[in-house]
Parts: sequence; structure tokens; C-alpha cells
Amino acid sequence: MSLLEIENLRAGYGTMPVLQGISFSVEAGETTVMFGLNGAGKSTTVNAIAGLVESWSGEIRFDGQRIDRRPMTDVVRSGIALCPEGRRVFPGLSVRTNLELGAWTRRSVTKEQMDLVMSYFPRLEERADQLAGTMSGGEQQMLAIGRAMMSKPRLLLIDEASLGLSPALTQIVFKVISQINADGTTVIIVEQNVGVLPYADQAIVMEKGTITFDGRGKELAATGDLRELYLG
Amino acid sequence: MVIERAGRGIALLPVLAVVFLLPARSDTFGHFGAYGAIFAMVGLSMNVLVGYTGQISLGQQAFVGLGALTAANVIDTGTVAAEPFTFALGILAGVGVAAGAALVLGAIALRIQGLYLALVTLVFGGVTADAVFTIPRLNGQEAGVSAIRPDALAGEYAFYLFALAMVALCLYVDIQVRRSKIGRGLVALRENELAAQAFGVNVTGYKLIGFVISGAMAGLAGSVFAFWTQEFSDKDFTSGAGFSLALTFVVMVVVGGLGNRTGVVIAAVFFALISPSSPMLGWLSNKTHWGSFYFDHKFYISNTIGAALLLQTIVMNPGGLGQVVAPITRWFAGEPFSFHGDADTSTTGAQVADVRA
Repeated sequence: MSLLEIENLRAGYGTMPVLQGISFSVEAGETTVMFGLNGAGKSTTVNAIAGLVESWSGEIRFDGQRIDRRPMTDVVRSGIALCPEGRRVFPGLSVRTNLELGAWTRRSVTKEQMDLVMSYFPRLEERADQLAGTMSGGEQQMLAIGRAMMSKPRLLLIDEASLGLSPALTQIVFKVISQINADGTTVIIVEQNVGVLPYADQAIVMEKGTITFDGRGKELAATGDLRELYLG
Repeated sequence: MVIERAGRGIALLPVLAVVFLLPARSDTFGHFGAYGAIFAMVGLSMNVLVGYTGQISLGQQAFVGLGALTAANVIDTGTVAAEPFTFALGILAGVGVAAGAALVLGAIALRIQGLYLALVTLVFGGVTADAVFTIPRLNGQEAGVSAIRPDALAGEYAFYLFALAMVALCLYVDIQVRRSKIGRGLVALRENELAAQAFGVNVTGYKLIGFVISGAMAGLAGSVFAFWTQEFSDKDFTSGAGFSLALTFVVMVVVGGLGNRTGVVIAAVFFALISPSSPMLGWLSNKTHWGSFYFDHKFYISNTIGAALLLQTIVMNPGGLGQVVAPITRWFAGEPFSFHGDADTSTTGAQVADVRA
């Protein structure tokens, strides 16, 4: 049984449909990357998994349990964490408080989890008392991922991990995500940067609310010029 | 260490003298002091809603008015002093009704933000004033509804101490809320609602909690206000007076510093003294020519001072008065004197964005 199974999912905003009945599954312990142009439905998909966007029809199953009609708090408690698009750190709060808020659904913030997150991103430990809003874009991205990790998720959803980051910083972030995955967390990354492909076990390409490719990352890499073929 | 503590103690003496001894000088000063305390309670109620939760309210005077109306009607003493039990019951009823009304407004306001939320709260304040406060059976018509204090609080200084105790209660609630998981949830909503939701914060529940706590505090202020004036009169909350109060409450929490309880209390007391409804103006007008001038032009002067302070705060000092006095309050609390402190308790995301810009 796959960790995440999505079946014929339809979702949208208001009366405007975005997802046109997509189906895919994600195996435990893998990294899945979702590619696609703006408006393809990638963010809507991860937001629907996280419970931020209501699904109109279809099913989302996590570890065999349906989660598409459950409140957001329950979705987080079941082991799913979302690192939303645009980082959305809490700018007026310190790095440490941001991280603590990531563990909202847990009874207490364990030192072990805080230490684990700090070990992924040592920069956060150096800046623990700094206001999140005063950090650079790269540091904020690290904080956003670290904050999502504070809930000890089994499935980590990252929306636009490399948005606004320099190529060098993007690689650092991708490597840490790879490490998080190696430590046992299943990861879904929404991306437009094909530089993430080497880290992808599974690759999904979306276009206009449908899935046009669902296969192994290596297969997608072998298809040639990804930008031309899938990303316009 | 001992010398440091002694120094702090000595430095605190003038503050304590102003708080406890000045109002004891005469009934007039005690009366002013209690009015300042009522504004401080309203300021703290705004601090929870605007400062912590990030929800704007232009209808806070309605909760204050509902508290006053309820307390006065529950107790309706006629010409005799209230019994301590009914007095307490009146206060609690005022708190309860205002909290209930805040729950209703919060439920209406759940899906709206910014300008629309401001408009809804403004309309709520106006409608409550026109539809509830003007009901003849509730407002006592021209005579008002009497709410004569119990004998033990008949003196102005005794009532001032009681009002001060209520401020202490509001401060305690404010501190406990901010330190608790509830407070962290409210602040997370203020900082970024979507991100807070993504981590499992129940947006609906926490917004309602913010509204209810704030409404209850404003209701308490209103109940105390009814006993301060010893009657409920709809004129204190309807038409121009009500709208002026609504604006004053918002301005004072911004000038005080969003989320900074010390700054908000100081600003609230200041605005209590200069507001058009301030009892001090009448007293000053009898004492000095300047006071008489102020009294005759109270709306213009008070609003101009408020507007100037608001502009100064927004443009030059987004952290408000609280940020200015923070080094001193931290020093009083036992920390070394420093201009840099715990950012989490004194800064909002908007202020950080301002810093970065």
C-alpha cells in the first residue's frame, strides 16, 4: 500500500475548477517532484492534500485513511506538514518561536526535534533569537522547511522550494531536503526548477489541472529537454 | 545585586506615588484616576484583539456600552446603594453579555479581513448604539438607569482602587493569554493566517477566542464605567460620542504599540485624560483660561492630538509608546538596561516589514 493515494481528485477555488480529476500515489520513503507551469495545479494539489483547499470530489488517502474531509488540525496530526508557497514565516516572531509554532499539534516541543531541525539548518541555531522577517530569503526558506519538520511529519509537502533563491542556495536547500528524505520522511516538492530532478525518485508533470507524466525521475530525465517538453 | 535592586525600588517610588498617592489627594483626582483605569481596561481589550490577534475593531465602544447597559439594568438601584452581591452580579452580567455579543461579531467576522472587517465592526458599533442603547425600557430615557455603588466603594478613591484592581485583573488575563498556547495561536494568526492554518491552528476557534476575551474585557470596562458615572446614559455611546470613542480606542492601541501592554496602558490613560469625554476637561475649564479654551474646543483639540500622535507613531515609531518605554520596563523587571529585548512580545510582522523596507 502506498503512503499517499490520490484518486480522481477534483478541486478549485470558488466556482473555478483547477484539478480535473487527478490520480497518483506516493510510496513511503521516496521523494516526489511535481513539475508544471504556473496555473498547472501543483500548489492546489499539495494544498488539497494538506487540507487548505477543499476537495470537490475524489479521494485522498494517507496511510490507508481518508483525509480529504478531515479538519486541517487532524491532517497535521496524522503526519502531514506543509511548507507553503512564499515561505510565509511569521515575520514578527523569532526563529525559535517560529519553530515552536511548527510543533503546534504536538503536546510539547521536544528538544530532540528542535536539535534535529537545527542540525539540518545550523544557520537557524545561530539566529534563533533573530526576527524571522529580518532574515534573508534563503534563511527564511530554511526556516519554513525547518518549521514544517517540527511536527515530525511522515509526509513533508514543500511548495516552491527554490522560489527566489540563488542557484547555489537552491542546491544547499535541495541537499538538505534529500537528507530529510534519507532520514525517513517522505517528501513531495512542487518545483519549476529542473535542477531538483536528480533528487526525484518519482516525477509528476502537470498541465492545466491534469497529470501528463507520472513516472520515475530517471525516466523523465531521459526524455530530453524537460523545459521544452513540459515546462514551455 | 542588592544595590541594583534597591535602585530599581527607589526608581519605582515616583511611579507608585503617581498611581496610588495622587488620586488619594482629592475626590476629583480619584475620579480622574478611575476614568483612566477604565480606558486602560479598554486598551487591554483592544490589545488582545488588535495587538495579538491582528483583527481590527471599530466597534469596541459597543462592547463597553453593552457592559454598562447590562450592569446598570441588572442592578438598577434607584436612589439606594447597591448590595455587594448584586453589584458583583451586575459586573459579571456586563462581562457575560459583552462577551456573548463579541462571540456573535466574531462569528460574522470569521471570513473577512482588513477593510471589510473594519466596516463590519463599525456597522456593528453603530447598529448596537442605535438599536439597543436607545430602547427606552433599557436606557431609562432622559433620567438614565441608576447604578449607585455599594457603600464600601462610595468614595472616589475607594472606587479608584477597585478600578485599579480590575485593570490588574485585565493585565493578568493579558499576560496569561500571551504566555499560553492560546496566545501563541492568536499571534500566529496575526502574523500569517494561512501558515498558522497549515500547522494545525484552528483559525475559526482562535479568532472567536480573541473576540470573546477582548469583548469580555471591554464589557468589564463598561460595567465599571456604569458604576463610575453611577448611571447608564445612552448618550455616552450613541452618535458622535460613540464614534469618537471607537476611533479613540483604535488610535490609543496603535499609539501605545500593538501587542505591548505597558505602552497600551500608558497611551490609554493619556487618551482618557485628553478625550472629549474626559472629566478632567470640565475641571480644568473651571480652573484656568487654557482649560476653558480646551473645554470649548475639546473635539478639535483632542482629535488633532490623537491624529498627530497616530501619524508620528505610524511614520516614525511603528512600535509605539511601548517600544519607547520597553528598555525601562525591562530594567524594572530585573534585566540589564538595553534597547534590545524580546522581539516576540513587542513586534508585529507589519513592523518588521517596515524595518526591512
